[in-house]
Amino acid sequence: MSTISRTSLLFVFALAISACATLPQIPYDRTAAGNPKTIRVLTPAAPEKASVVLAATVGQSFGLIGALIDAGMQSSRESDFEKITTARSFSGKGAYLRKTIELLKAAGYDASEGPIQRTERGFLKQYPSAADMPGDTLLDVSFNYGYLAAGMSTPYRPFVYAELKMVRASDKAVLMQRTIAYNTLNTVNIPETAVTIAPDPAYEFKDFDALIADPDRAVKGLDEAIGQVATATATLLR
Amino acid sequence: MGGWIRIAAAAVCAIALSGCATVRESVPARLDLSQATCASDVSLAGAAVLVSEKQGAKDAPLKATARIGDTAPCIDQAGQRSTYQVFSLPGGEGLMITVVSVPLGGTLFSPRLQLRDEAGAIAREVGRDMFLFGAGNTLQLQLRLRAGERYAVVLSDPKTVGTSVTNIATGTSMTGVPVGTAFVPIYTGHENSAKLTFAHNGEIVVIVGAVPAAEK
Repeated sequence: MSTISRTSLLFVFALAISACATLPQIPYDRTAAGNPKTIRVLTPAAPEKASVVLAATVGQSFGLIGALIDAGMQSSRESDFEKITTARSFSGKGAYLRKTIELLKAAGYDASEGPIQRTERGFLKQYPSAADMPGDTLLDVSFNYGYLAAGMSTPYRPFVYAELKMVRASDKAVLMQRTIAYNTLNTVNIPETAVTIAPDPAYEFKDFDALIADPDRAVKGLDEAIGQVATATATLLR
Repeated sequence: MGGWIRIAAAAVCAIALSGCATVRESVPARLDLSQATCASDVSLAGAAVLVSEKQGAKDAPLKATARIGDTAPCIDQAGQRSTYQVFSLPGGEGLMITVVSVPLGGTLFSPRLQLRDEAGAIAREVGRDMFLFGAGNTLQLQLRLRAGERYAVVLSDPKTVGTSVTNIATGTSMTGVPVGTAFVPIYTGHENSAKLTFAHNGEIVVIVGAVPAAEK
């Protein structure tokens, strides 16, 4: 077997293994957690700009050159999409915070934003002290969002991939850790017990041109997808 | 192709396929219990026992799978009829339970849950709205078990039986095209939609294991 074939096989094997390295899913129990009253929803770790992903491309078959071409095309799509979100003052972080706090309040919590500056993606390595951020619990959320088409002949639909961790403010004990995926690509790559939300067929765009040509509906679709993830967040914290 | 390469390739396929739900046969949705003979309360007799899938492995999760079919027991509470299956739970601390309703074709058992104590008294009830979709169009719930909870009773939710949902799933796949001694991967995207009808019948999997450590 050629070196190329061996390398390809090892690459596929590495991909398969990496898919197994997923976030352990820890359920929340309000009673066991001591019936916390307040939740500070930390400013989420999320990009300012939505992703616009074409998952399967021709370029993927052509190594580094193809990858560079794909990256350029994705960057161009994302810049175009950013224009329509900016024009509508849409913020993914803002949408998630607003809806999550509203739903947690409806569930009886005293919920508010815990404003923080993040320097990297993923969960915080160190949480604010109880003195700096008073409250019973801290909800740490990292998510990516945008539009996704599985391939050249499939439509663009909103997607959100969120990881949540709630810690007790006093001792930072982990009270909950879950994954929520809206419009997941290839569910084998997420934890078996992750929450999945199927995309709303009302927000389907046959290609990128159709997405850009209908900006109000495109932004509304993204806003509603993030809202669905916020709803699932609140359900997991009941 | 060398032997180790074949083994590695088989392992890759096994890993990739293990993430996919086993293809189960399709069964017609049972939507009407009006002709069923129902009791007024749940009988704990016939509780399914959870067993380890890894014999001898300490702290391995315990699991049971049960089909709730046409002969499943049912209860009638104020005119609301439900089929059910009882699972006997292990005792212990720091345990969590995962309840999964697995689709059988387009039929999906619409679950709600009661946790009962040793004497059969209801300790906790969890409604249908707490079950959320998971991979493979399953409906899932995870809970930390509390002291004294010894039986899980999974009942159908009569309020949602008969309703349906259509889930869209997206994915990619790769096929290799041979070029000389190597192959070129060709990637394609696909979508599938599944119409699921919530029913009084289906398949339930219950898993009890330790709450995992938080580290990634």
